[in-house]
Amino acid sequence: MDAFLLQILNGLDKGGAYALIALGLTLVFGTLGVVNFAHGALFMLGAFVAVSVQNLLTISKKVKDESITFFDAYKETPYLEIWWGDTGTALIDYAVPISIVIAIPVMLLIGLAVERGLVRHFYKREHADQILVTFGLAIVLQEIIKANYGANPIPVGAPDIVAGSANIGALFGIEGLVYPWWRMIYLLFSLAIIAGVFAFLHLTTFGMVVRAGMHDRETVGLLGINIERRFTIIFGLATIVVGLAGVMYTPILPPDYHMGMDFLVLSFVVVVVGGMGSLPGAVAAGFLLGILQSFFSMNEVKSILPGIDQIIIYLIAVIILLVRPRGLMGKD
Amino acid sequence: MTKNSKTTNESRRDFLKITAVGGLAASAPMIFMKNAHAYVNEPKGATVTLGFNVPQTGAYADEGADELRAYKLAVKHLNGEGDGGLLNTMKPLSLKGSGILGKKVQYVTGDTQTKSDAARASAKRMIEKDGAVMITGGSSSGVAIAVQSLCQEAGVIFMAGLTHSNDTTGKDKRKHGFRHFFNTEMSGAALAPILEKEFGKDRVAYHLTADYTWGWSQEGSIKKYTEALGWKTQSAVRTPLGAGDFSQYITPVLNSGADVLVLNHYGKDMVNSLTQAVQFGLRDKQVNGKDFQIVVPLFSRLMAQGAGENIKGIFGSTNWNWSLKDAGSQAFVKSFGAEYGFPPSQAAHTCYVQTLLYANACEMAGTFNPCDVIAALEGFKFDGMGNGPTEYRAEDHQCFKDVLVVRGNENPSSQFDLLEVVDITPRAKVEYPASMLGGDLGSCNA
Amino acid sequence: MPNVSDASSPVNSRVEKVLNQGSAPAFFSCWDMHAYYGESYIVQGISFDIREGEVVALLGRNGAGKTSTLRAIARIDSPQVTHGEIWLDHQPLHPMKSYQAAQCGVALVPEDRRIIPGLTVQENLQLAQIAPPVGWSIERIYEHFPRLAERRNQMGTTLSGGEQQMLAVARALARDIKLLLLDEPYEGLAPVIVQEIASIVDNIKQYGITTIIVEQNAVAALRLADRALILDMGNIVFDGTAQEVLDNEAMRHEYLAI
Repeated sequence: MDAFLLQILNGLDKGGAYALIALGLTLVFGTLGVVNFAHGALFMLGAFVAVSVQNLLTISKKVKDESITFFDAYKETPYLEIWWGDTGTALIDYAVPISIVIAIPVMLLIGLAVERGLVRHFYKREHADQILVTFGLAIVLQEIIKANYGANPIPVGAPDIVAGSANIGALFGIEGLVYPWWRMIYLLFSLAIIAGVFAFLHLTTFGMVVRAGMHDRETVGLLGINIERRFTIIFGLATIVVGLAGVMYTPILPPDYHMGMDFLVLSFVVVVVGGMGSLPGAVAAGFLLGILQSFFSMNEVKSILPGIDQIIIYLIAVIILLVRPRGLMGKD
Repeated sequence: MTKNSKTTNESRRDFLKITAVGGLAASAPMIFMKNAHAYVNEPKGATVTLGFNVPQTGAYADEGADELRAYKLAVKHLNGEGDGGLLNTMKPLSLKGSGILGKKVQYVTGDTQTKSDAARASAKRMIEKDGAVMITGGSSSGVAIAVQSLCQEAGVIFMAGLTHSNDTTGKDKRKHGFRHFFNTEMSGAALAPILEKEFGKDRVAYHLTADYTWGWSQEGSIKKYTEALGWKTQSAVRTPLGAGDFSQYITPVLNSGADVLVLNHYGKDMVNSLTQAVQFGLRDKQVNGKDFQIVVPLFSRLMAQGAGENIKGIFGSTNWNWSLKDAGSQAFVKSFGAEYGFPPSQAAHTCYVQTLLYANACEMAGTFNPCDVIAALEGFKFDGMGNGPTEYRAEDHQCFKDVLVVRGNENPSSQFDLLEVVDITPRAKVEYPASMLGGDLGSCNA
Repeated sequence: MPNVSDASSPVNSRVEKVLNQGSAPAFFSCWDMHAYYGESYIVQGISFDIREGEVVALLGRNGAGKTSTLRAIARIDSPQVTHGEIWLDHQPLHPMKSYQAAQCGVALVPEDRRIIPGLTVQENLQLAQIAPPVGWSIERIYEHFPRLAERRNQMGTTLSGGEQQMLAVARALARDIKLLLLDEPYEGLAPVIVQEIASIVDNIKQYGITTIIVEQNAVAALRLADRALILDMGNIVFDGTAQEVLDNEAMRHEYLAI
């Protein structure tokens, strides 16, 4: 029973990340009509915003270790700690929450730059061209990060107060059942962002135009609305969403330059299963596939069907698409 | 014979002979040409080419970069430049610092991408197009075994880089392959007494294992030695390489009744699984009345960097560490540090040493012919290269030397001081009969 | 596209001709328009004028190019207009995109109504008023279309066929339009509903909105219209009063199959 519960939590957690990424992808595909293969790289950039903020906060005073003469080895103490003592340590500790705030304008700028510089020239082109070009961009972004941060994963910690596990067993009357605080926070956070995106779409005029444009771009134009002018902002919004997903994920998975690619394939599967162009579908499929993936990695299941956890997502995708080609909630 | 002195008939016969031989030579695939006097890529000019096949992309790229630095340094020293590095401490030494057998050493590089097929392709390219007479490098046992067998087929020597699986000099051993780095059997033998001392005999272990040759090998070795102590192995679960999120594998550990988690993971996998295991509170847990412990049998300083705070106090083993105080280690650290400004990793060390050992064997044999070089390396005993007195055992082409048991440093004195050496297990304690790991060397293919 | 300001352009010389004849240029003018759907040559060079306030019936058999003509005037990307000029109230429409033409007062009510899913009746109307110029207020629309007022918070696509048609027309009225293009407004509707829609269109006529109406039900359209254009295979074969068509059975038989 407790294993079951834990796997549900794991699945929801993972699902939260998938849902957020798929949400941004669907927004861009549904409104701009662009297949954005750089989306995973944007997730990775979000994570590296957290890395950069942490690096910035921990710029250290270096005291040379004189006993070592062959090269410069030094003990590092962050300046913030030297100047501000405990406040400094607390600031460094809260690097990730601080990064969330900083990530919003940074990701917005990146999204605007990518849209203005590259994507907008490919609105009317074939999807194959869009894939080629955005994939190329993804590789360029990866290599820039690799050149500046190295190839190794870089650890970023959650604030100490939430770095451990919560005793959720107490809620369910099960002994010794724990689950990391940060993972639960991540789940809540992703739900909050998803809710925020939907609120924006349903409660603002701009959001209404986006929704209308996703369904019927031609008619929106017939009503005098220049939807292309709004594309830049939509792309920026999608970039912020996926960037925040990346920032918050860093304590769970130490970021490295390649993480974007790892999530990219999966997020496309999610979008296709959910129904391309359907936002609720993308979110639902994200959580569904996250939970499925978690379940099928349980030892009990793996002992019956070894290796199933690797392929289950693709298997389900194939089944769903055979039975319902437009995806769970896609339009015809 | 000058043109004028031949009759037209003789000239015609010469012409036909030459075309026939030329045609035959052109049509025979280069690699498989076996001539009693020549061997593959025999260096004919003033230079000899070595092939450095390292991961330049992918999860081990940082380690690959370090390996390449070590190789370049080795080439420098072989050609008589720089401060000579381990050429100053290695005994016995036939190298003179003027290249190998008087030929200047050059090199080409390849990218294994940590994938077997890419590694084989780049090794093949270096042999066939670039004329490499020896291939070396790599950070993965899967890759090492694949490239080793390619080199055997191709008739060149393979000096393994970082590969830890028993199989490389066990069931997949080859006559043309040589490994200096230690293997999981030695890690198990070295770790067991320390684990007994620190954690006792009454423990229940849960293994998470990377699902490929190295993971299986290490899991097997650790199980063997811990069970001999009296530990029970509760479960051993295979995890896919590059899994990223290990939460679904860690959650079953929580209530399994195990009180030790053994992570048979390396590189990115280890960074992630360790980080997440700590997140799930495993290090703060109490099971069976004891503190829960995590063991990472193989880790490196680069991995420790990636794991950050979480590596503190974790036990493991390494092949070598820059903090060793013997003359050979210090000479290498000095040389590398002067060249690059930071200390070498264990991967860098083993690659540098392998290059020098190969060069020295050629010098001893008086030729680059693989069969003679192999004979020179087999049974070669040396010292002064870190790790104390070492022997290249003839039966399996595996180096036997002291093994380091390390622990993540609780109070690092600098950004490089992440591992402290807890114990140096002497060579005698980690030796085993060659027959134990099976396999068959085969014969020289040149 | 021919350069509008080019003095030697045929339109300018035609304008001159008209001026010299003493009458002002037409409120709406389409000159030598050719349009393609990809490789398919749909509109093969049509020209016609409309005076302000006129209602013109655009008739013809299926595939004659009626809908394509309306879409071309509304400046939708497909069909692609490769040649010709379109003028509305002294503004050249032919270099514009659809949203710009809409802002100049063109309103297309498409054949399939195109009520936007996921939006309520109210939201569909609000959507129409985001871009300038704004026409009737939403309250005024609800006064005129009480059935829409009742369903204002219902999803637009859950309305009946007739109600959707009403909404589509109301959406056009929510903007300040100079040219209304109605594509098959009676299609798929029961005769009783057709009556209702017809009376709405009649009302619109009272407001003096210049209208082009495409309709399979030629007689119904002709009753409303002042003039008629008949299209056959992408060409105009008749340009005259609606009465002439109603009287000429042979022509109706040949071009409209009725």
